[in-house]
Amino acid sequence: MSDFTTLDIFQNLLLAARWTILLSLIAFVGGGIVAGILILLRMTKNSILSAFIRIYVEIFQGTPLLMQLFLAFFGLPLLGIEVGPWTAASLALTLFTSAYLCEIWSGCLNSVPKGQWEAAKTLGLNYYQSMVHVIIPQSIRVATAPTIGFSVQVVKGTALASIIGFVELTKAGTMLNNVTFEPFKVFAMVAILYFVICYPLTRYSKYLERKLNVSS
Amino acid sequence: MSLVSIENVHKYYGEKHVLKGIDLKIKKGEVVSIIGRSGSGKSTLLRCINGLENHQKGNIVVSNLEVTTNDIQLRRLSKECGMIFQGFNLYPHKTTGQNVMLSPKLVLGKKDKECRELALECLKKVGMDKMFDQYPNSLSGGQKQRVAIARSLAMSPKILLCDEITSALDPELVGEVLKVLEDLAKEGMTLVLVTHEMNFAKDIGDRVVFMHDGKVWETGPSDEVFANPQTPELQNFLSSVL
Amino acid sequence: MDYQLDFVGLFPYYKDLVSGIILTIQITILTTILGVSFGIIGAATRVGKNKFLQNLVGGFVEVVRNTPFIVQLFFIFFGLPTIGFKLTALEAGMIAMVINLGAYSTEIIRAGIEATDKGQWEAGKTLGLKWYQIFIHIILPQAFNKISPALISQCVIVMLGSSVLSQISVEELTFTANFIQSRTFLSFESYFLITGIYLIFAIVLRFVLTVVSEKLFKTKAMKEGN
Repeated sequence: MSDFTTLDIFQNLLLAARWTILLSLIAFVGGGIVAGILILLRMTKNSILSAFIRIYVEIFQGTPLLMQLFLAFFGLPLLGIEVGPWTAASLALTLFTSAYLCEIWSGCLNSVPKGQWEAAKTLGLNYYQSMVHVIIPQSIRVATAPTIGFSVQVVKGTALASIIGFVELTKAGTMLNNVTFEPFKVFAMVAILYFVICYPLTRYSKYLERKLNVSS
Repeated sequence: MSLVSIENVHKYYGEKHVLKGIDLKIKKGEVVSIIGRSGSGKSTLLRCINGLENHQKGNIVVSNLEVTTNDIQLRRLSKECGMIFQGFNLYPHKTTGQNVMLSPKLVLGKKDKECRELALECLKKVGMDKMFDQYPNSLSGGQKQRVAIARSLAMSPKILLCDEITSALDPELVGEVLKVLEDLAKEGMTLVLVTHEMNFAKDIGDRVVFMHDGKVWETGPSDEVFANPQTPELQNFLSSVL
Repeated sequence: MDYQLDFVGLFPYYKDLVSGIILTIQITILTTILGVSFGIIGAATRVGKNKFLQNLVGGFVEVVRNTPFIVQLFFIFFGLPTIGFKLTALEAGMIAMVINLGAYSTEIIRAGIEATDKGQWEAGKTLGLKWYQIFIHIILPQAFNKISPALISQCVIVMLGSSVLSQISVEELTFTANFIQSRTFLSFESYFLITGIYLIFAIVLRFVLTVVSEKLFKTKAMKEGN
């Protein structure tokens, strides 16, 4: 029925996995930048901005990623912006990622003991100096493990881009399944490839977490 | 016939030899204080008596039950032998009363009403019956430790093992806990205490066991041991703590 | 921008919407109960004495957590029938959801158990309780107290993940959105409306679970005086 050997399937999936990785990188870097901006805005201590950020985070954490993808895909054209699956997926995943990273990083900033603020203050540092020289360096140590841990969620999230027609690992899997009619084999291989991408990140995140727990 | 009989007990943590042949007999109604520097193995010995730690060589028999690694045997043992911890280990999600009632209910299979009466009685003994519905977090350290004692008493043990039970307390709270122990001793309860309270060991304790380097270094009636220590190690230890 | 939003055009489909809402709620309730139950059993195994079961559950949890939900769903729905497990779409979807929440909550609850003072196990042991009695009556409530915010967040995330069940034609909320937009061509309006409903679901679910966990585990009482 089909001319696809297991090796052919594997090679095609491997090629498609490049796009999964690329999309993950875009979403992760983009999300990181947006989250950084949100954190900076929050630091201004403007209550309207803070409320806006809280609502932003609540919306992206409180709605399905799939809906966010649909809205980007179908909504942007209404604003006159023609978008393909690439743009829609990149945008939705970036915003999705930014909301979670913003929350993770805020938590890490807040986890620095109050004594550190007080110490910096009594030593004559102002708010921004305390932030830059005392609080942020300590937060980064705490933030690395959960940030890398969350990157696994980003990689897994890119799988939903297949639904709006973005050809990455999962979409390639469904396409290969449609020609080979071997769903068990195809989706098992898809799962294995995701596992190969995600598991090292999971392990590294756990390793960092353990290292941090030992040192503190 | 001794209530606790410890014969040639050895215990290793990996390579480390922490108990090096302990022999000790404790009679019913005796109050035995185990003293010694930290690392001398005194807490380990106490924890071997009720099987919280396993010994590798030798025999421990408590109230005719041999201490083994068998869970069923250890549960039998737990009805004979209560333990009070330095850190109280009260169940924080249960009230004082519930803390005391849990084991009589689950282990002894008593009815709710019986458990309640038993708990009230035990808490009364330690002067905590008024706090029946309080959660542990709202109690002081001394009160927590008294509740922990009541919790053990509810299982009507023949012997109470006390592992530095006043060490985590503020100095002004130590007295109320020691007073409870004193009352128990007067009622004839067998007590084995690992303790830093030398005065208590001297005044209430019948016998003192000085441990050093994983061995019972010196032992005897309290007044004699404190008045007339034989070994230089004990002399040294006493002069550093008294 | 010339486009006029037309939410009124969705109105004729309110019956479909209601049935989608009901199915999503049913899926959520069942998933939450079963998933957390599996998490408790999984966590008990992870901290239990049987090394083989420990590793088996540990490996399973890692596989689930490191592969996308949609791939698991496709594997269960399309893949398993080829080796003889025939499942309806709803069954496949439920299994995938429960497995997911089960795996995540196993890890979350295990972390809570390990953060519980070892002395609590010892106290229970010296008071004659059996392993499972200590686990259920002493350790688990304290573990839940520590991890209930993380567990509740995970329940919300898994609930939101139910939208992916639309891809195997389970007629839940997102399926309804797809259906309405295919009939009305009001795609943005359909998805916007449904997204809003999910947001409400997320807020309500979080609230309900917070109340339930406070009732069940007396989180407030434990925090008093701390």
